[in-house]
Amino acid sequence: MEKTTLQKRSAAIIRRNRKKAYLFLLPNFLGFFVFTLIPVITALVYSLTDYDGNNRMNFVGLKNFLQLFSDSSFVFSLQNTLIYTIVTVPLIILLSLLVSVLMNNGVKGAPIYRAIMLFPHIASIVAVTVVWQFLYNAKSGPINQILQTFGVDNPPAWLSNQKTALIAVMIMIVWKGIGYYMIIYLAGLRGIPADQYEAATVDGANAWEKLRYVTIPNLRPVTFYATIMCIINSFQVFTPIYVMTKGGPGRATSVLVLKIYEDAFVNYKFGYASAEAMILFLLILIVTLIQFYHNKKMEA
Amino acid sequence: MKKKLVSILMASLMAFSLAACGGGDDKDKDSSGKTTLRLALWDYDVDKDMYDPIIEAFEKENQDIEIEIVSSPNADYETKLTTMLSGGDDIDVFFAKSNTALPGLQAKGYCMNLSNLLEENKFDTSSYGTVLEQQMTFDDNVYALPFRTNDWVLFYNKNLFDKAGIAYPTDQMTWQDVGKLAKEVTEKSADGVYGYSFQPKVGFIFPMLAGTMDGFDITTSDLSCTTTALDWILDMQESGAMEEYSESVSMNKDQTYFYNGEWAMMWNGSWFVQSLNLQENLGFEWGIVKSPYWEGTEKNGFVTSTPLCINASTKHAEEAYKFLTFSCGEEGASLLAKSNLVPGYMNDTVLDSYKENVGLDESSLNALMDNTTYSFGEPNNVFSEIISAGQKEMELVLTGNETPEDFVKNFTEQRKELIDNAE
Amino acid sequence: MKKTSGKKIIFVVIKYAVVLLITISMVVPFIWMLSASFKTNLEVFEFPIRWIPETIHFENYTNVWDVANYPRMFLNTVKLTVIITVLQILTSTLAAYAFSKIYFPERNVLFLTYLATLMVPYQVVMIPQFSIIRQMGLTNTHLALIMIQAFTPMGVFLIKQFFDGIPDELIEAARIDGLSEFGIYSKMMLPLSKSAIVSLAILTITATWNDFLAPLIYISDKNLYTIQLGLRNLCSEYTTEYGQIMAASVMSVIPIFILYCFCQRFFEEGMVSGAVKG
Repeated sequence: MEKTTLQKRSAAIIRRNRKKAYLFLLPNFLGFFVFTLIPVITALVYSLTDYDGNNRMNFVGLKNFLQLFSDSSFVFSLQNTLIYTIVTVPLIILLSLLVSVLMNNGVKGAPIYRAIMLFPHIASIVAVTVVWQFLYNAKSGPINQILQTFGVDNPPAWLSNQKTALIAVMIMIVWKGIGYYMIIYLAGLRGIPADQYEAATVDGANAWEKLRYVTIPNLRPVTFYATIMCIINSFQVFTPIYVMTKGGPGRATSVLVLKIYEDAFVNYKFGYASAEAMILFLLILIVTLIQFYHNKKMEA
Repeated sequence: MKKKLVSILMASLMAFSLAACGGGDDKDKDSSGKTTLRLALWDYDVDKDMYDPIIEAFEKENQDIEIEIVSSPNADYETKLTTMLSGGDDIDVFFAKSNTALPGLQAKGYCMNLSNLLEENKFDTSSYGTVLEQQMTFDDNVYALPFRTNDWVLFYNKNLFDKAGIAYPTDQMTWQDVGKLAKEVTEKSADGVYGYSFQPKVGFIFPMLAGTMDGFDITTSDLSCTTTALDWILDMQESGAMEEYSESVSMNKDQTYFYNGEWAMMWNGSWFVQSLNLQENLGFEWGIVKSPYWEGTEKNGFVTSTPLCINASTKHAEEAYKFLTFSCGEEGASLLAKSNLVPGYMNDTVLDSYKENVGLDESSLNALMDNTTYSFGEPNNVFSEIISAGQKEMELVLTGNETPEDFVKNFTEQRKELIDNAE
Repeated sequence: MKKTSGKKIIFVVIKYAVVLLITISMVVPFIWMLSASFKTNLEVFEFPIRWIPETIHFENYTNVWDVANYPRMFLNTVKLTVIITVLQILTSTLAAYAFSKIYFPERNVLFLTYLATLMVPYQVVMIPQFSIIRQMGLTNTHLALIMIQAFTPMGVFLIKQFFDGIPDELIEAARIDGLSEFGIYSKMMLPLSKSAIVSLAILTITATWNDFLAPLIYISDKNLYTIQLGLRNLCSEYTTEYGQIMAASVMSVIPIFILYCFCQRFFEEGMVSGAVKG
């Protein structure tokens, strides 16, 4: 992306640019450095120690990392996190793309629908989770009552069944997430130049072809942003599970961050918890890099 | 040049953060020269009536000390406490959630070793009974004092038994007897009434499993004995004498349902006496009998306690010690007893104060006295992790996802894994 | 008007069906919440659902209002939200401008550092962050919440993505015209990226408004409580007061919803101006 003309400029200009850049960066970087970067680096150091929050910490090398894979709770949480991400991210992205394209196509009352669809996203997660917990109630919850009137004799016990608990959480997250990504997509859709559609019409493209060859390629940067954010968010899902199930029943809905939380705050194993977090960090990094290079290749 | 700029930037950042650090002055002593002690606890609004008299009395007696309460929601107390302790916050005195949480806190060095202080001040610890030795002592050193102790006993709703025309529960029933009784009550009562219930939280059910064998130790014992208890629970759920655990949980059910007259019997700690007495217009009479036990075991009940600790890194050790021995000593205990809770500190004065204020009939009072107890066994550095793993597995049995046999197998495996990994 | 073909009608029907279905599924839980907040505990789980309760139990609200000191929490939350959002927008746009429009050798490394910290779960950062805040003497102050939430890398990332879409040629032209960098930033970039800024504002407002973990950790004094912390407290202390819990939940979402309805106009404007960038 860099302008080759820029690169050829003399060192003096680079120096001047650098000074300007740092001036712009400074206010944000100060806060970022003190309250995000230092803590992150500290956590990184912890992952190589047996730090427990109080006693002297000892350097233990990679011991924490080696132990991870004989820790069945960790493996379990890792699995759950992957399942959770693989299911929710595509669903959220596809559904929000679908809705935004339809809404952009001209729907009467679109602002109202949009307001309603964004509501789950802006509503507090604590409030939303409390409501869903009641909705999911096995015997007297509205969801199962409705299922029963539709002739489902044995509706699932949702949050208390090992097999459906994670699904129940995922449904809520998709429900909560669509609105936000729809707004992102709508912003992207408005940014597509009308002349491209006109040109496509002249070429005799039908609606599907316009979507395939004009809309989706133009939305690539938006999709890049949305997917990365969505993946990062689902790798890091915590509050809804913490409030709704605390990982239960058993370990059925335990995800990585919940496990990290438990190890750090209940078992005081900060070193170990940081090592788990580094695995999570690596996972997210890999996904981002894949996306990043994929995106670059498409642009080139 | 590049390096220079970066280093200037870094240096200014450091200066900034250092300068900001310097701003962190303690406000320990205010203008009147009072020392402020910060006390960490949970759900203060619920337990106001318990804490306030003690704190007021303490501040009256020690004009130079002020207590500042740091409260957090019950479910988030661990998060808050851990952050405060390990982040170096100036917490002086704190409650551990229960005696099972204490070994973890002690092992990390958060609790001050009290042995020397107690000795120097010639503080008489004999009034704490065996709890101090069993639950607060590690390697012969005392790290906490028991603020409250709770004998686990069986509470019952007399009206429901009267209505059903069934005799009240008695002391020294087996769990099997309780099961039979619960089924009878359920059968002869209106819809929506359950003969028996736990507080539907794993922590309130799990202790029952430890009673299935004499001398049970959760770290070493063969776990197959626990199937007796699990089978009992499943049978209760199936017969409808107890509401399904999953249903109770998803409705956030708690003792309110006992207040509402929907549960005829409930196994709970003695703190429940206070909660029941605080209810206005309860609309029914209730009673207490001793904890049920399992056939073939000794007649033991379960006991838990609420430890009060001094933060090992407090700057006000002297004042904190004063507060600790006040609240867990005779004065605090008498006040606690007045609010119908069983203090960890127990002597004749305190006992009289409890009896006088609690308003229990002779037989109920008797149920709370002279109980022999069992526990989860010897605390160790993975103690609370093992208990928590066991609770999670048990939840799977209660929700019908696993059989009791699965529980034994899986829990044994996880226990081994936790012990192995800790070495 | 053109003659509409059969295919088109089917498409329109499907279009409305999908949009309506999703809209309804989005709103029903909230209506249930609203309706439950006016019911007694027993009525909450009645079936068939009585959407409009027989008698309106408004005391759920008055109880919550009194117990939780709602007005105080409301003011606290508003204050925090406004300050954090303003700081976030100001510093993020400045930083994003440097990352997107000024070429300097370390920019990729620095930007990647920003991105990388986004990927570390907050739960691990919490402890070291707490130590720093404590050493500054900021625990149990609102300033602590402001400091840790106003400079998140998220905002920089979002704005940079939008800035990248604005052609560099435009900037070059302005530079040649003799506009200073700050002039370009304030007179060109900001107006051009209104939509992105509004998005960031909404994102920050909702995140701040709804955050409960940070207030939980840093705030102890009841007078400094935010709405979410108050809600969580209430849920912990009154677990089976279903009606009241619902009332408290409604009260925690209503203000932000009203704000959103009001902001929708700005949102529209932001999108129109965003369309210019193509």
